[in-house]
Amino acid sequence: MTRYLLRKRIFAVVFLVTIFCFSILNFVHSYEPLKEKLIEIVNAKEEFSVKRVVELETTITDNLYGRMNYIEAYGYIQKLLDKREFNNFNSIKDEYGYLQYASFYREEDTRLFEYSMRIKRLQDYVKTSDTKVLFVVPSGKYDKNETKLRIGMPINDPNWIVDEMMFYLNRLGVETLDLRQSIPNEELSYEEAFFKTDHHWTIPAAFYATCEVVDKINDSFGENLDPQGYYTDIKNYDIVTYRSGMLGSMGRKTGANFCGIEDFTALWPRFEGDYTRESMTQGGQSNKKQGSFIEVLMESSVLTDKTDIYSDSQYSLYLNGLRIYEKIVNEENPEGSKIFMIRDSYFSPVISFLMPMCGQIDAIWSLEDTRELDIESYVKENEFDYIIIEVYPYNINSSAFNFFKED
Amino acid sequence: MLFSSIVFMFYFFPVVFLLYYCFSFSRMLQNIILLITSLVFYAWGEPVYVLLMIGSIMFNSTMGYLVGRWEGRKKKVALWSGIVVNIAVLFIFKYLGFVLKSIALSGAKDFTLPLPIGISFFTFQALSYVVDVYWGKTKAENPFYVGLYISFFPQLIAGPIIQYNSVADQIRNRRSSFDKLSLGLCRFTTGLGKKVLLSNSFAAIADNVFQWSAIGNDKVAVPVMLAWLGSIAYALQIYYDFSAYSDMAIGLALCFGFKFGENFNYPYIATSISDFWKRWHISLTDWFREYVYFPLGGSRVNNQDHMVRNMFVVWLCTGIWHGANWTFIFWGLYYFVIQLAERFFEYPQKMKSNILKHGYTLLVVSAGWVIFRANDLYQAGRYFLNMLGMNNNGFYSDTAVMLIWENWVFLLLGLVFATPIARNMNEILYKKPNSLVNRIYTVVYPLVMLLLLLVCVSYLASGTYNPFIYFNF
Repeated sequence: MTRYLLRKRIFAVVFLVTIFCFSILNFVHSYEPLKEKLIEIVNAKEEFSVKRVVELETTITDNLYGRMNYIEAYGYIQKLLDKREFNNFNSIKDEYGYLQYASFYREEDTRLFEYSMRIKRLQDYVKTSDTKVLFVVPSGKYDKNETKLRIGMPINDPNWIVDEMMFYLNRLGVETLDLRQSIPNEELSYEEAFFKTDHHWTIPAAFYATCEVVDKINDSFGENLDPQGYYTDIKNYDIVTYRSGMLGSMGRKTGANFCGIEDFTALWPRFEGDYTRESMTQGGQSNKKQGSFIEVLMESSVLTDKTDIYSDSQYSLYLNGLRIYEKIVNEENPEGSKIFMIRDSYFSPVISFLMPMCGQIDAIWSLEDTRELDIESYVKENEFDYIIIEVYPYNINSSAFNFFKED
Repeated sequence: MLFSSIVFMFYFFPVVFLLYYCFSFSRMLQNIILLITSLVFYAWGEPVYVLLMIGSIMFNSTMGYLVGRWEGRKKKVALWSGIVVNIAVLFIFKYLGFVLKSIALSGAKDFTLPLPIGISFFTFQALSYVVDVYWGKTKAENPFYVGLYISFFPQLIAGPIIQYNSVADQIRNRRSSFDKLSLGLCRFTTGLGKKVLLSNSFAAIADNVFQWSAIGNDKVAVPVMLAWLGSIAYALQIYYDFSAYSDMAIGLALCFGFKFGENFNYPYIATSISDFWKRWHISLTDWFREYVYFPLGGSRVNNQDHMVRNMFVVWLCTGIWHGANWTFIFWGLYYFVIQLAERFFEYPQKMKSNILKHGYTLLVVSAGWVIFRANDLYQAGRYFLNMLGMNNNGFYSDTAVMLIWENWVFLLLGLVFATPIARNMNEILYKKPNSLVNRIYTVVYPLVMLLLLLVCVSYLASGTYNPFIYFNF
């Protein structure tokens, strides 16, 4: 009896010491964010509801002391167990170590024709002002020729959705650019085009995509962007690879132990330029910057020694990630082409690379609530030369086409 | 609030524990702390419905007082008023929408009230109090003690369903000790591990397979292998989910000096369905036996028809108690038929092979879980066809192979710990206190338990899949 109870007693002491020490440390660590959240809840006019409890609980969990260490521990356990799926198929790791989106099934989206019609309506609406519309779909990370999965892994494959949507758009007479056909390619392999730990394409892939967009606009609309071929020549950029400096958006959820840390390659322009950028964050904060390409269109703070791979996104090097609205003017070429972009994060580096060849680019984040901006009147008032609608294959849903709705 | 959550483990529990033991000099103050913190615990999940809980406490205290004070007809009226109002509240919140929908009343689809968490559990506890007072098993208590009995946070959300007479004395005269606390913390950690590591892993398999078999209104054919894997995973999920919660509840209660009865006793080693129900959700079975089956006459009736009627009522109530859906009612009646057949034909006892007995029991129970888990009876039917390979479905499934491959460690542990192997090993060690193995185990045990605790926290901190089946009952 004594020994039976002895081990229980020892554990009880260990348990209590662990729980109390950790609770105190954790409370001190998360005091400020918790206080802020509580003040927000107290000041909110609505009653204390389940929604508020969930918010508070999320704040508590997100600010757990040493949370990333626990996530790393969890990732390590998954690796020890030789698991490929992470957290009930939030993501899966393919045989080459690439994190992919998983899905056991995808409910059929029967509204693809309606989304296509919205683009067609937009095209017809701006026809009188001679604005051209281009729909661009970037390459998705899942490529059946390149991705090798463990038997039975439920991959989320959006390609058939893209195929169907492209079919409708082509029949409706909308110009399209399907970047799946050109990226990856012989010059840019799958390994060079995609991150293992992030859902985005790499910066070299985004640059390659920019060249494709320029070619498409020139060929289809008779434009002459980059007549000397200077900005689309990669020799005019310094290619710098930052070793073991990247843990992408998917990797930050799984931890580096599960998926590893990878290199990040950036393209630094060898030219300066002069740009003005006005932008607005999700929180409604406005920001204005003026200066060279690097000063205005890049955020080099994400690549310093102090960069925290668990919170900073290296992909945000260009345009510092997403803004719900932005207007960039090329002061050296104010008469250049004027483009309006309805886009997602895939096009942040593309906008940067495209900017020297254009006069002005206005862009909105398609998936965010842009209630402040009435797209229909905005495009009419501003008389853009081109409207580019870019949607990442996994983002094709109603909120990505928030204009000319008739359903 | 879930026990298996960061907020419970690093905020709620340490604060309650500290407050409770700071006031060790006064049992009354300790009880006040437990009552207040239990209401906070409930309000965390249901800020508005805490008023319902307080209302239930006040009403049942009053009814208990009247039942205890009055005699004769008035006493009966008070008893029945208590029963009717409790059942009516449960009916309105849990079943009214379902009933209106079932009898196809227009607009019924819109009538759905959010279900107060644990309403079935605390209503049954409240009923137990009023009835126990009526039967004279206990005397009427003041609202404070009734409140603590009904709302005591370890058993508030998902039981075990405690009968008032079993804790009446403990509320006032329980003794806390370091040994009780030690046993309680070990039990809690074991429950946490069962829930976070085992149950949640099985949930990921079962939920995906069952969702896959019913996408929207379509019932999709699922290969035989996958259908069986989903069924087995759900059987393991529900056992580890519920028994883990019971372990945590019993453990936490021990930490505060209360001793609750066991709620599970390795149900999957049962040799018949009657045996299974003596081992599964024991507190609910006891409750129905005590407050429904025996008052109706139980098995000791001259007319066998009455016994059949009594069993029918109990199993119908058991089905209904689990939820407002035809699947639960059918599931209850399914067990009524099986148990009746077992009683009349005595077939499990007649089987010579123990393997056959276990096989039969597991098969019947697994089939029952399919009905229980399905969204509707139609899905349950289609799922059975999938399992039998009669739904134009194939046998082999890559997905099933993958799911087994990904979860083989947990599946193996789940199957092993569903048997009393750990308990038996403990007993062997207990009988040899001075053996080398026992000595080593004494050193290793706290380390393994600490590791288990840390692993569970790492799972919780990562925001892993953490559903809880009995939360909705």
